[in-house]
Amino acid sequence: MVETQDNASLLYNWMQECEKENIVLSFKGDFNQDLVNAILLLAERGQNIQNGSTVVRARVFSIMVECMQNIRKYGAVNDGSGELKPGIVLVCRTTDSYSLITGNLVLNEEVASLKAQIDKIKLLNKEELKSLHKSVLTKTELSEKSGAGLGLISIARKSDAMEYQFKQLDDKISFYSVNITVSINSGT
Amino acid sequence: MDPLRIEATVDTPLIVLDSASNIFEISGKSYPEDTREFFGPVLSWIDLYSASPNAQTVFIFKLKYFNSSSYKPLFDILNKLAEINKKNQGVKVEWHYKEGDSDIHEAGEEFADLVEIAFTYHSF
Repeated sequence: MVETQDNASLLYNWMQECEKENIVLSFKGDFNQDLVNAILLLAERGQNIQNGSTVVRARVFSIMVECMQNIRKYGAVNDGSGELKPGIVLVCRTTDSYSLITGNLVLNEEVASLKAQIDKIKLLNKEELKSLHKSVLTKTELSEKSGAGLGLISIARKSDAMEYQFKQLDDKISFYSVNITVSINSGT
Repeated sequence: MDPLRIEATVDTPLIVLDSASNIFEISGKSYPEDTREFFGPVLSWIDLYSASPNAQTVFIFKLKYFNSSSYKPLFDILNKLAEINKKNQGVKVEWHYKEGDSDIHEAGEEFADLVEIAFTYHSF
């Protein structure tokens, strides 16, 4: 068991780290829809996220939904239960942008296709994303799990930058993190 | 036919589909985990309604937010309305968006491009 004093330094350091990195909201845990809703309520009501323009706030909210529902849909599990999807979400607010950073587990075998999807999306400008969105929406056959890739396209349409990293943990699982930026001036 | 009313929850919108009162509205937020399950009864209701629709159907969308997986069911609803409109030319869509939310406004315009129904836009 950790000594009380160690807890104090651990928490203090974490709090200092949050200050330094401008983290206004952070959560680590197993993601389910109730949790997604609870985090969204915090984000909606939190002052740090409220003081942006309507469209920027809506974009931050929207990207949070997509990212957290992605953890629910695509996140790997490490306990074999199939239900608990561990993940971490951070919202950072600097003077000129919001960053949404999420991390979760993925199967190694899915890494290549995920990378390819994001890289493809990242090459497109806003107009190209708009046409891709339209063509995916109007296709009649949708892949059951993917929700047609509209999630990723929506994130790209609503954000100003998207960076990802993978860190292989063992022969089955990798840790996937993505950092999505929404500029305070976007949509104006 | 019986009206369909589904009260709003934290992640699903209010649904009011009432042919006798001539009220058709979807309003609030839509980001349930399973959008197909949620919108299933809505689509079934519209299927039944399309057999004998009112002369005028003003369908109100007043969404504060919807997630990417709500796009497809919303598009399905609009396609069904477009079928009714083809038959009786009596369907209109009122697309409401929160003042300043250019993304929701634009989402309405993008839907309008894809279906043969007249849209009007209103901020709230």
